[in-house]
Amino acid sequence: MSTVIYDVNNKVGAGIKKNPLRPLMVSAFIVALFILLPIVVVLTTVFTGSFDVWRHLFSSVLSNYLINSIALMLGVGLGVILIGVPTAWLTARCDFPGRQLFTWGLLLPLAMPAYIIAYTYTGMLDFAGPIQTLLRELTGWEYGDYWFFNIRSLGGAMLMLMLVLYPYVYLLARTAFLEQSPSIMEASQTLGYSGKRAFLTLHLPMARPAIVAGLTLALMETLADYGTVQYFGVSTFTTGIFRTFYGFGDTAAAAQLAAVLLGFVALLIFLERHSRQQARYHSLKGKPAKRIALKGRQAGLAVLVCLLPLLIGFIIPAGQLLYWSLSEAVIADNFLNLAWNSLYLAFLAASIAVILALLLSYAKRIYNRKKSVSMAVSLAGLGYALPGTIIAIGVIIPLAWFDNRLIIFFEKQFDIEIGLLFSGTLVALLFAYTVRFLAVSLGSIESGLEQVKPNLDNAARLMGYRPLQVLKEIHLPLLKGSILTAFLIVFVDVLKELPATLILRPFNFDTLAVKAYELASDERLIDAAPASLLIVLVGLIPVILLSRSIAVSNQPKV
Amino acid sequence: MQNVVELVQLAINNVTIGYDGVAVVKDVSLTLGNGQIGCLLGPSGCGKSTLLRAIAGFEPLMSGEIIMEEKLFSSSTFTLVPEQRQIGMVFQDLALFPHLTVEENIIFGLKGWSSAKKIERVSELLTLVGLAGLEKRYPYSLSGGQQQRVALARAMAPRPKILLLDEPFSGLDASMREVLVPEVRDILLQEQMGALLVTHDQMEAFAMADKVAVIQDGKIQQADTAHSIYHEPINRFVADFVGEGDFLSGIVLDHYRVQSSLGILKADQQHGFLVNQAVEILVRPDDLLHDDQSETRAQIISKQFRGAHFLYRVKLESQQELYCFASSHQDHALGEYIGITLGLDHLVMFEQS
Repeated sequence: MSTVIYDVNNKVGAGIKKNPLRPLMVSAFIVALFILLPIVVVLTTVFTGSFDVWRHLFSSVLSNYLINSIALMLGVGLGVILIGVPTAWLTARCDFPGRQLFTWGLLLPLAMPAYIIAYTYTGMLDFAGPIQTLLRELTGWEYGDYWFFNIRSLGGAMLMLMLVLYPYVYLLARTAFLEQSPSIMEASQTLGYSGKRAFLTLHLPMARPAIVAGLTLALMETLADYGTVQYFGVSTFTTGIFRTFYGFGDTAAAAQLAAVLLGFVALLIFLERHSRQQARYHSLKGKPAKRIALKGRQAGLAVLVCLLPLLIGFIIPAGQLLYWSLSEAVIADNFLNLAWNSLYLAFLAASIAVILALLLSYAKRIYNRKKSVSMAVSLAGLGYALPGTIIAIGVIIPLAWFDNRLIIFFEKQFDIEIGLLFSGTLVALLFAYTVRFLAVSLGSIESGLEQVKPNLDNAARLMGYRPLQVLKEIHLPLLKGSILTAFLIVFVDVLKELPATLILRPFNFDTLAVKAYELASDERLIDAAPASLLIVLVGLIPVILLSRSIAVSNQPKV
Repeated sequence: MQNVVELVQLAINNVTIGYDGVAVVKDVSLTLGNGQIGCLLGPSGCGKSTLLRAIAGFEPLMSGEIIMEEKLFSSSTFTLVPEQRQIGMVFQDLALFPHLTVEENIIFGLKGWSSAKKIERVSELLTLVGLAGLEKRYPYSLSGGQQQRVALARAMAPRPKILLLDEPFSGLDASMREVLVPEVRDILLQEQMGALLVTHDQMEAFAMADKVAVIQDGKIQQADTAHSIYHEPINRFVADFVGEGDFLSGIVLDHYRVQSSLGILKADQQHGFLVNQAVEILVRPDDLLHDDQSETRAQIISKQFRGAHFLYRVKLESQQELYCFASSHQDHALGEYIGITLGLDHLVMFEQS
């Protein structure tokens, strides 16, 4: 062994500090705490609320809410499967005229918020609407002479919701069908299975976890819906929470209702996570299978099956909105102002969501050996499953409490009267949006960051780049796409969001969604069209992004 | 050890590395001379990659020091940041920057060079690794072997003091590896660049390295030339892990001789075991020779055709099984008895476990 002489003090350059401050980690924990606050607040009301309120709720309205909510979930659940699975199978495994068009076209209803499609069809199908008017003109019937489907009903709400929510099932089931390796099909053929039998015994069960995951997403949205059920007069949890909160001014009871709803959501979250895990287990990647070419009557049927949801879920209502906007609608004086409010709010919320998501995902990446950090990050993503009403209640209770303390404090100490600083301002609204949509930006940015393998950082460091330079030269260029996607999706989600905005918006602060809701409530459906149309048009952006990524994943990988 | 006085470039002195207080590398010492190619060989999870990452500056030390050209790189209280170490590294997953072209990848580490010199270096390296003309391509459009070469060129571009290679060939198929491994060695020699390779594949280690350190459970078991590691393993782990072989049991007769089922074996120097002690003698497949003249017969119980030769598994009368190489002209059937002789140059023995 040779002896090496060296100077121990020859420490040139910067070293790693032994106990570095961890601002990133600390801020990740703080963000997670803030995001969890509304959920914790709602949950504690279960235990702190008065028993009388509970008894009252049970004896009066709860069973009604329960029955309607469950019926709605059953109906919508069945509907999204009946629409989503066949269309997924046809576009994934078969070939027929227009398949490529339908592949992305079937996503279009995602751009249509449920309450907007509900307003549109009500306007079309009501007694005074174009359909019934035409019917009367053709037949000479008058009011009471004939039966016509009453869209303002539980059935109508089911129909509206399934029309815009089936894409969740379609998307996930389609991916599952695509990923089923052709050798499985060939193996089943050598074992004597073919056609319908192979579909029912192999392909469908293999795609089941993905279908269930899509179904639970659709059901979460169903539970969160307020605009549709409120407009159709169907009493569910969300409308109940609203009525209790506004009508009776009973915050405690509203929070307790929210807690019951939270229970349902928790069940769905569990089901969704479980199915996703299974879906990963079931996916066997291989070369894409050869599509079954459909001919003649079969091809015609396939076109019909794919065309109907697209037509009824998007083309007809969007066309109607366009027609109303251009011809009959009275455009509000403050329309530009409304649009500005909406866009500005969505911009702020999307920026916050993206910045926090970057912060959280970097904390998770850097402290990857700390379980507490990754747990904090996944908790921060919990809000997405929560209906806007629950979040609004959970936000307003602590903020109002804090505001009151502040007001009392300033009065006593300085004899100054201050107004509501948090609960009645945009702060409350932005807080709620962040809680609800952080998961969206987090998902996009985390998966983007996963592509940036740790060794890319290591390689750049060894080539003489300091951490911030690595961020600029390697991470930023590679993350650009995910950041943009995250921003756009949150932007559009905020634009469409209705219940939380209704509860938390500052006095006299209107957005496009709120205006559409108010005009529809005043039975001015046609005048609601321009605002609705704008929401749908902006909502198309993430759908286009999604369909593009589908088109890319269809191509063979290099 | 060679008697040539070698200039120590990299010295690893009593290094211990661990996560959450659990040591993964335990009190390891190793030196590497200027321009020497070293190899850390061991099964997965033995701590070899962790040691490499510590040399690069990605892992702090619990104790010990890492010294490069007489400058302290790491100690228990100090870790020089990676960007100031002037070390090149080829990663297991290659870590090519996906948003940069081949040329941009290679230039990435040439901060502060003039653009004329950058271009010159790129073309020099691409010629060296046989990829001239692919400057403008993106990594995804290259084959696995080509990506490998770009990663190598990128790591060597700034003329680092030493090149670290972390299982760089593990993603390639066998035939590709056979081409690339000697090629990389030639390139390193041509650039006069010292290197430290981490691998679990002994053929890679033997083909690349001047000096091989066999690591198990965080400790260096033996550090020596490939030839010595193979023929003079110092313990059973090294003997087992490196190469094929069997252990023949025997009883020590005196300071030189051992009684085995293949007769009395004589060591060329005192073996240091006690008389009457039960020992195991390492027998490599090439130590057992097929010899029709021999009186010792063994039955063939399995055989593998390996092109140039057969690898027979034979059973002695004592039920002991051994491997035996034979030229591929000597094709015998299963169950046939063949004559064998033991051609041991020197005895490698361990205490019977």
